[in-house]
Amino acid sequence: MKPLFIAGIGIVCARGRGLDQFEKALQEGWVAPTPSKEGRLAYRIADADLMDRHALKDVRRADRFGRLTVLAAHDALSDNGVGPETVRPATGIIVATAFGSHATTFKFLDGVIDYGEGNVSPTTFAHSIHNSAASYIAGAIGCQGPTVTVTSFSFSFQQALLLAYVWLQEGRVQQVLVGVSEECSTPMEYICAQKLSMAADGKMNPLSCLDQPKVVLGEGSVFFLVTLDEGQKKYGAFSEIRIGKEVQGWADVDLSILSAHGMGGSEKIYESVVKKEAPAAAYSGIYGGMLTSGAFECAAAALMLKHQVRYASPVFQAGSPFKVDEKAVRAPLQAIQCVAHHCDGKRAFIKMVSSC
Amino acid sequence: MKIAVTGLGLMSAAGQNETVTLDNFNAGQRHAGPVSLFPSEIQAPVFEVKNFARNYFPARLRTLNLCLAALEEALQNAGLEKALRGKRIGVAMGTTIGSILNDFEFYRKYHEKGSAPMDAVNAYLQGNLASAIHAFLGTDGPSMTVVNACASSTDAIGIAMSWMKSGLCDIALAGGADEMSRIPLCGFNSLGILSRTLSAPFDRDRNGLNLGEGAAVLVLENEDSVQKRGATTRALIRGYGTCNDAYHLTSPDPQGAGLINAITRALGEAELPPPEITFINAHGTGTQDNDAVEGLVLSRLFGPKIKFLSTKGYTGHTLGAAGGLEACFSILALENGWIPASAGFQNQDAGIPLAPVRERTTIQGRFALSTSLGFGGCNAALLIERPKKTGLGL
Repeated sequence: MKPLFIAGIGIVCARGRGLDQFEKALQEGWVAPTPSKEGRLAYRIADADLMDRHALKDVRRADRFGRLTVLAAHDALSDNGVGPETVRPATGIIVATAFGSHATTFKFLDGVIDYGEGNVSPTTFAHSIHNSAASYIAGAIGCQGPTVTVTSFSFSFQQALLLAYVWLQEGRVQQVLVGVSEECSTPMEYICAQKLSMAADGKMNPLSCLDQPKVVLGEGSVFFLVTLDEGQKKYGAFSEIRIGKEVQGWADVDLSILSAHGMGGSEKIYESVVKKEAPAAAYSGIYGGMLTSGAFECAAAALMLKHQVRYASPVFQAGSPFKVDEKAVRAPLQAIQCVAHHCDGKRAFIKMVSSC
Repeated sequence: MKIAVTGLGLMSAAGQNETVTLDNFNAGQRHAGPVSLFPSEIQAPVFEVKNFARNYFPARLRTLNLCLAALEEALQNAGLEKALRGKRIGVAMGTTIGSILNDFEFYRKYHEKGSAPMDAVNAYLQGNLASAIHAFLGTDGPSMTVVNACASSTDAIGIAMSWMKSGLCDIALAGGADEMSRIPLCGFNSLGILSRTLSAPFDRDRNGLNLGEGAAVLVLENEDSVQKRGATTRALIRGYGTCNDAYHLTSPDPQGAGLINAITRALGEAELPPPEITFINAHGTGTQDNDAVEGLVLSRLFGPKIKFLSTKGYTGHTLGAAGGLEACFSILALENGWIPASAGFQNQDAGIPLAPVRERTTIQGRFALSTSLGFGGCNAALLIERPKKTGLGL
């Protein structure tokens, strides 16, 4: 694989909007999640972080999922100073998600139940369609290139990144905005409370490789502007992507970041896919558990490669099999791998490098 | 690199296999009726897959069950039904309903009581089409469930083609599926584009779409795989284009900018000029906006004499399955040398500079174009070739 250079990153999560806020969160470490009125803990984005008259001016009617997705995509472009004249013909958009705009689907069903089948909102219906957020991005930035939304409960970001690379290699586009988006909602928080072990104290332990990991739900969106043009590089590059049952990671990396988010079943598998005592990190305790959290881990890796620093991981439980930094450490970083597994036995590895 | 189609599986109200589908097309039969799969107060004809009883996964996963039925037919057709376990293949499937947690009974209970049994959620979590197919077949490889509204399965086929050209897999299964569901029924009704009569794509008096359900799976193989297996090439996927309008969430760009770009890119990838196209299987939903824009674009790019049709008069709008089904129909047409009458069309619209075929029509060329337009400004086009009847056809 040729290097897939990162030309821009946009991010919004419970810790705020923008790379500066994300980096600040990585430096500050864990903060307590907030309870809903039902008392369920989650890392939710503050409404104020989803307000931006300029970035959202063409998507004023978008639902919350659409807004948070557009903001992250918009910021990834702004991060590179890319204007509409370069976006229009040559940019692709790939949005990966597990649960998509499910909150709007539930709102639509509220309408069916409360008002009858013939009296539901057409706007809510339009927003409930999975690709509405991608459409809003295209509209907001004037992108007339390929625009797809993909969904999976495992590795949808990794597969989306692979597709971005394929499109670039084919010459279908010159740059791709590829990212993820997830949203919390009251029904989803109820579902997760029924199906998962929730961290009642708000503390996740993704580095402990537990059989029954605990989770605090998170929400947010991350976008990467990627290109094969090294001249556009701002944060290093994705140098290899491996996905499958039998694939392995790399021994020559300086750090492994675990996409252990507490939502994919036993996390014991990480003991066998990352070497014992190897330097490892996990940051889901900062932004919360999401099935597409791999993109957040890649954003953290990109910042670390740029600034040559290993951010501390929130650790609340002794006994990690790995070498874990509990304080930020300045260190030379050439390569980081982001490691994910799914309960079906498949794994995904993304290798990121500071220079090629 | 040319990508071969070596197997087809299709499932719609027009037929649950190729033979029945062709018979219905030939006879102009349209099997629509009121919704029977769930109680509904909306009175509009729909195209359901009747007497479909195959149940591979929990009963609630009708979309997945339709998809797996089409998959089995496609694999059998390609001679691959027992040969894939443990292999690296790509799976790209399009859907709309199959990707959403929208079980009405689950949500009604939750809405009323604040709690509900998890059966529907458990089923939903098993229902991601691409992941479920990999699990069903015991395969590994690229996996993508594409949720690009009504262009989903056209994009899925195009993505699978891109994977193969990039060397990520030698064989891919691509297509899509969607079941009849309350959400789009109520949603399209709320948008005022659900017809109360049988749909009439491109007709002067068209008044909306009919919903349908179905599934389609194509087995795609590269040249090496076709040669190694001695497989029969039924068609070649020669070009794919996908472009956004960047115009509106639910309305197509009136000038069809995205559709023009998508078709132009598909033609460009195939290195074919517009006059080489034998016929076009248009998206043709029967709504005012879609048909007006599509008619305008097809006329501009191909001239008023191009042969084209919409098959949605036989299947209804099957949403995430539509592009896959229409790619299959295009292949059947190229193989058999005829396209069916564009069901429902009677009178030309003065605002649309060309008219679809009114009767079963003989075709003689080798290239078909299949177009899909979707919510969100999605436009996708596939260029399909009937192989020469010598050698491997590649």
